Amino acid sequence: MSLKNKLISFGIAFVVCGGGFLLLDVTLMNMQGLSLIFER
Amino acid sequence: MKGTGSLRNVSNKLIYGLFITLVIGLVSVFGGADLFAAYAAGTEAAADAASTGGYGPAPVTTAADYPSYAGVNGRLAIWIFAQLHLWFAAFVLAVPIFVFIIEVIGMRTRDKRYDDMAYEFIKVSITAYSLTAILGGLLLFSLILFYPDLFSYLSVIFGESMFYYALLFFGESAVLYLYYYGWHWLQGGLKKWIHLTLGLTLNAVGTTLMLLANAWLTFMMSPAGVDPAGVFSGDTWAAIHNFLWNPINIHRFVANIAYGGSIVGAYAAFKFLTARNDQEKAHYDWMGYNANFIAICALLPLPFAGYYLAAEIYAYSQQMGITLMGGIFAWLFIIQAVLIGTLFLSANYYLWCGMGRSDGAKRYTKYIKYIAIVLVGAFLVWFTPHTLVLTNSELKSLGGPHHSILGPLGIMPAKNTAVNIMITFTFLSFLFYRRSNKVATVSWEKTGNIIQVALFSAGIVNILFLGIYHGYFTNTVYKVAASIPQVMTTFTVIVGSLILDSFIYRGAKDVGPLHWGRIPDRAQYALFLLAVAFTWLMGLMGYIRSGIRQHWHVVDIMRDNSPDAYTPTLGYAANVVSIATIMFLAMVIFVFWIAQVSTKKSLPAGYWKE
Amino acid sequence: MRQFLKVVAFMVVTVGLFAGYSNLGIPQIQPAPPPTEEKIDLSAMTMDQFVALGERLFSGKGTCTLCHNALGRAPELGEIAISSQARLDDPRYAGSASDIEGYIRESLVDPSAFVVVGFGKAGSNDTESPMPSVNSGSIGMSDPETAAVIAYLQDNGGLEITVEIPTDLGEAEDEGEATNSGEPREPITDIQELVDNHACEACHTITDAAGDIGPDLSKIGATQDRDYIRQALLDPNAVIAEGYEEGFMPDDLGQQMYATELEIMVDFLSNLK
Repeated sequence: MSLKNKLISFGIAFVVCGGGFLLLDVTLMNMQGLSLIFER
Repeated sequence: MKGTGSLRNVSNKLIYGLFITLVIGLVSVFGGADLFAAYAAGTEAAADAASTGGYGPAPVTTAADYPSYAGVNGRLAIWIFAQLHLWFAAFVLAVPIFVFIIEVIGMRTRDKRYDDMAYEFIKVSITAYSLTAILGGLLLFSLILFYPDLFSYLSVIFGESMFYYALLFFGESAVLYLYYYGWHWLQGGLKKWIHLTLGLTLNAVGTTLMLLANAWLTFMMSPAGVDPAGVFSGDTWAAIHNFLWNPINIHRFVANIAYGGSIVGAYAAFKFLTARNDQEKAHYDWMGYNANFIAICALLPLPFAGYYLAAEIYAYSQQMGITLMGGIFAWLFIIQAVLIGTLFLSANYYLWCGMGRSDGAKRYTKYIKYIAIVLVGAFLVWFTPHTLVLTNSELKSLGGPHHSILGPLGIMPAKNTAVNIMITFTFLSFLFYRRSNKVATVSWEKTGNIIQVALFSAGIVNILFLGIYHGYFTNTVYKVAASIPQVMTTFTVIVGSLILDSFIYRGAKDVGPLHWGRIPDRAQYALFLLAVAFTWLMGLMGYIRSGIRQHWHVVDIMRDNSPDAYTPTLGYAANVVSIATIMFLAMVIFVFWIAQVSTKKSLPAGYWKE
Repeated sequence: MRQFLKVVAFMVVTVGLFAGYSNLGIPQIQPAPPPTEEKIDLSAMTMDQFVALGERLFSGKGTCTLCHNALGRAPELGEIAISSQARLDDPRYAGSASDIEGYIRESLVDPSAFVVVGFGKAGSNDTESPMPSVNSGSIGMSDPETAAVIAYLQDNGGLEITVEIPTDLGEAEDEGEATNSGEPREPITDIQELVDNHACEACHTITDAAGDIGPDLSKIGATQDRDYIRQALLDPNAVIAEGYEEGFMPDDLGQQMYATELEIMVDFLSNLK
């Protein structure tokens, strides 16, 4: 596997995992009646 | 010794076993609750009949109500006896839990080494049972002698449960002796099942004992079943099932397992150092590894159990919560950070040294220094923000403990982030250790690894994002709330990569046989450090738990009017804990020593007539 | 045996390090003694003094400022004039008070009688308050003390003070002797006690109990020297920080404090950086 391919697969996997975590964050914050982004 | 390939089996089975234990533990907590409820229904009926008029308010004491004997400081005596009793109790409750699991593993795998190890664990702890009882007796006597009014008030409420406690203690001893002395007799087929049933009963009785004792102490923190003047309603179940009962139950259950693991780990480490041949070395290396593994598995969820307990203390009384995290005790959490850092670092160090057992570990050693750097970094972050708030001399001039000088919630996010990072990287160490002797054979190994790296990176980024953004740019509500997705991220990374790893290494080849015993002596000192740090930390946290009651015997109900009703300085508390730790370690060494005396034989020539 | 001694030595050294760190690496704070009932001589008290007593209790013994501060942990009490009436009129209100004084007393003694939306215990759906009752348990205010806090809250909120100085002295009776005996009081050496006694944090942010009536003092040492601070304490109206009004700060601290106490205060403030 070339470095470029490695980077591309890493990028895709990272975005997928990161998106998953973001979704987790949003869900768990919403369950506590809050949004992910702070509102004053 | 058939070490090959057992590493992964050991880990998987222990993980499975610990999971089952947690389930059993929770079931017994709640199953126990049912039993209590049934029992309480009975007492309720009795109470109705007797009407609540029979109970008086909590006694109001003066300094004269606290006798002193032979110049002994009552508080100090109680403190030390209670602490020693607790250490031994934690040890003897925990050992049967994992002895039972290991015995089950032995039964399932039909690998006699597990059975032998389980027996050795129970053997070295057997004397500790009587020491637990003796120290419990000393605690009881000193409570009656030095705090008679408190004791009589508590016995009005818990008298009946104290009686059952004593009965259960008999039951515990009976089952224990059957379990231990019947070990070699009850082997094979149905007999093994009988023996395992005894083990389960032993654990059930032991856990019930702990739940009862926990009820008494949590009643003192979060009294229930009494009115504001302390008049008992007659409902024992309400007093037992007080607000902090279950949070303490869960915290202690998990912590006991970690603690018991660390103590038997120290035992194995010592036996390793004094082993006479390679076979013994291999045996005790393997035993130490397993004990350490148990300790670490229970250590990982412990911060969360502790966080839950602290949150419940806040929920019960905001004032008590602020005393806990914002007043004088805030500094104790810095000491705690140092100790938990020590625990994590020594556990990791032991894992890294253990990689030497495999010939395939070379592939991973280059990463270890980075893990070490991150761990130390997280460790520093953990307690630096506190000390930057005020220098020592400034705080000395400040003098008073009131108000939250340290703005506890303001710095909790940094602490949470550091803990989560430490746990994630400790898990990474463990993952390397697991992989060290394996070569994956699946075709998508490289892709799998990349996904795993991505999972870790995304998880870490998310932990940092939650910690930094919510920790420093939002308000208190968000700071607290953000810790939940943070913890869940750590959890997801761990579970996700365990699953992924098990697929990548499905059908994997071994690099070569594992060389049990091929580990440097200094690695054993990591196990000693783990045991000592654990003991000391438990003493310290016990002091906090008890100390946040401040000048109350029973919070808001019965005031402590003794001359010692003040909070001592941290240095004093640390010294008491240190002395008690040394006393405990001396007794533990005695317990271990006595366990092997029974195997020694002297044959003096010409002493007996032929 | 050599191994054994090595291990024992290792363990003792480890324990020693932990103990050493706790003794030397951590500031040794001498915790305050348990609280005692404040001695009150009600017979000779004017309403102003009664309000001042309430203010001291509010930020001292009552520990109210732990939560009722600008951090928003508990409802803001400065707008009590408007909010109390609004709460009495609230359809959710199910308590037994009929006037503002009654409402305030009820909120102090039985905090869960009415919980402001958003301030209930988590999960209680605003039916249960996290605040302890002031006359029981850990705070333990006497009835006259509670009345003093009510007087302070009414005064502070711009309301007419309806609460009366209790004439039933109760426990306060025999305590009159101590204050009337004419002996000088003991000097205070504890800075927190000083700060509490003079209720500095009612107006100033010092550590984190954030009052904003007066300037933020949490970093005062970084910008001002000791002389400035001393002058500001003794003659507060000499220099008024921009954006703040003249005349709020009591100008009689010089008569209330011992010289040693003043210096402790100056030392402390000039070290806040």
